[in-house]
Amino acid sequence: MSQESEGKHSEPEASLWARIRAALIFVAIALSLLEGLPVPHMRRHHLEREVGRRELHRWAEFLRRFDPALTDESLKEQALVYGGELEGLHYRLVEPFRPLFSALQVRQQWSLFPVADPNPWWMHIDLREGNTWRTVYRPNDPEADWDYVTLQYRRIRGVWNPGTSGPRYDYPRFVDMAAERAFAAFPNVEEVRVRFQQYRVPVPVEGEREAPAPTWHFEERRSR
Amino acid sequence: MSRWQRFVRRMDREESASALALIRIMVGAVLFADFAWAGSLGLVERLWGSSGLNLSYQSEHPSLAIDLLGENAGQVLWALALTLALTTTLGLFSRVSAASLALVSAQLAAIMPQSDRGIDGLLRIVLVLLACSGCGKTLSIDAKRATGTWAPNVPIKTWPRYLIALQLLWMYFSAGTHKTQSAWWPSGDLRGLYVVLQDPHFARFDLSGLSEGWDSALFSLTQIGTALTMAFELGAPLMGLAIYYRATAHREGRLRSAINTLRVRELWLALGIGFHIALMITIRLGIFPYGMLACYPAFFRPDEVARWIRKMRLSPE
Repeated sequence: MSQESEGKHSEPEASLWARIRAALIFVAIALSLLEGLPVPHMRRHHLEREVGRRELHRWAEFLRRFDPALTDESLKEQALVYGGELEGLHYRLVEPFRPLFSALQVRQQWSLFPVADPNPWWMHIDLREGNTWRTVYRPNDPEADWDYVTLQYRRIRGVWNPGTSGPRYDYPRFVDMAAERAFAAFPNVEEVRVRFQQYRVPVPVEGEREAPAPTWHFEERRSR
Repeated sequence: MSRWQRFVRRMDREESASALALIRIMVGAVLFADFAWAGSLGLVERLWGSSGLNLSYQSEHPSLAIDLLGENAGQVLWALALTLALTTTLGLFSRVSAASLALVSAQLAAIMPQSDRGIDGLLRIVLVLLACSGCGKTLSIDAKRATGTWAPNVPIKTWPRYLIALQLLWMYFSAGTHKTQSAWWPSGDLRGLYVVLQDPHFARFDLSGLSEGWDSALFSLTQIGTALTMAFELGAPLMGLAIYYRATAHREGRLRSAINTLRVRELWLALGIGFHIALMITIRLGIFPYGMLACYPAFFRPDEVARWIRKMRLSPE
């Protein structure tokens, strides 16, 4: 930014429009900061997932220094109650100005990998011919990369990549789309299956630990 | 002079249009590439059409665009978005193009919210600020038509650039405050980045086959990366202070002097650019790193930007 003087020397009085504009800018900044306050959006299922339980346990361990009677369970309930109240208060404060944010479909709460989940999902698209299933697509696997350019496009991934609450709203229609494309590309395929494997990422500092067996979730099938 | 008066004066200042023009060109180009890519993959109807992945057309309260355009809303909006991204980049009716692109992009988001990512929202805010600025006064068809030269040195109001810089700083800081999980902190061994790099939905490389030695080395490296990421995101307010102190370097104060001497602004920018380049190389995040870097000229003084433009021989000395 330029190293202008801060008005030590005589400068002409700011115009009325300059003052109105500065006031509008100030209001815009204040509203954006209000909307963007880092208020927790905690739900019971967040705290009951493995990563949530682990975080809760860490926090409870830390807070027991101040309140020895605190348990993981009581901390969970308190977090949900107080978090919910805070979220409700924030919602009411922002409510009158929500149309301004809705017009542009924006929010001021930004998150980029807030949860580094050591139990990630891994989508598999499998095809059945006769009695044989084979995986034709799973992300980051060069051996199973059918239609990867389309499936990995960020706007399509936004539909199939599960969130902290599980599969997305439009996931069933994504399965329809994947099946339609697979039936067109593989004439002998009778059935398409989309499902997600959940496994554990081993972390070096945890030492040798037996990894739990991967589990499968959100399975949907489509027949020709 | 009161703080309010100083604020009014700061918002009334003028500077060369080059920094905002560069943002306009790069943001427009990133969005043009993204919309063109969606079109080339044949996904327009799938994403935003009435027979696609969304249920917006069956909703009792459909978006404004569906109300106005009916079944063809998705196709029409996409074509408009592509055209407006191009005219924004070229600087043809710059302000109208930028404002319209923000509104059209918002309607596409309303039809298919899950396909609208954080970077789309951020770029809409930037487009609105560009529409309020004189970003088309240089490096544009508008400039050529008005002055006969592509890169005239025209003064414009500074405040839209300040607000774009502030928006970026808030975005980073907000992202930092949301990283409350221990994986991002020393109490969780700073394992955040290591875990993210192994998320198969985002990772570019399969790291599961690394030998133990390489895996340990990678883990150490990602611990440093996690610490730097947190320092960068939570350090965003310090960058804001550094920008302010640089602009008021003539004033006294030990903190001002220390931050200016330590070149906090340059350090933070180097971290930011490195952060986004590392993201481009290691994680599939679509247009996110490109869209963010497209806004980085907001952190530079126009005389710095003008020097680069002169180096590229776009403007006479």
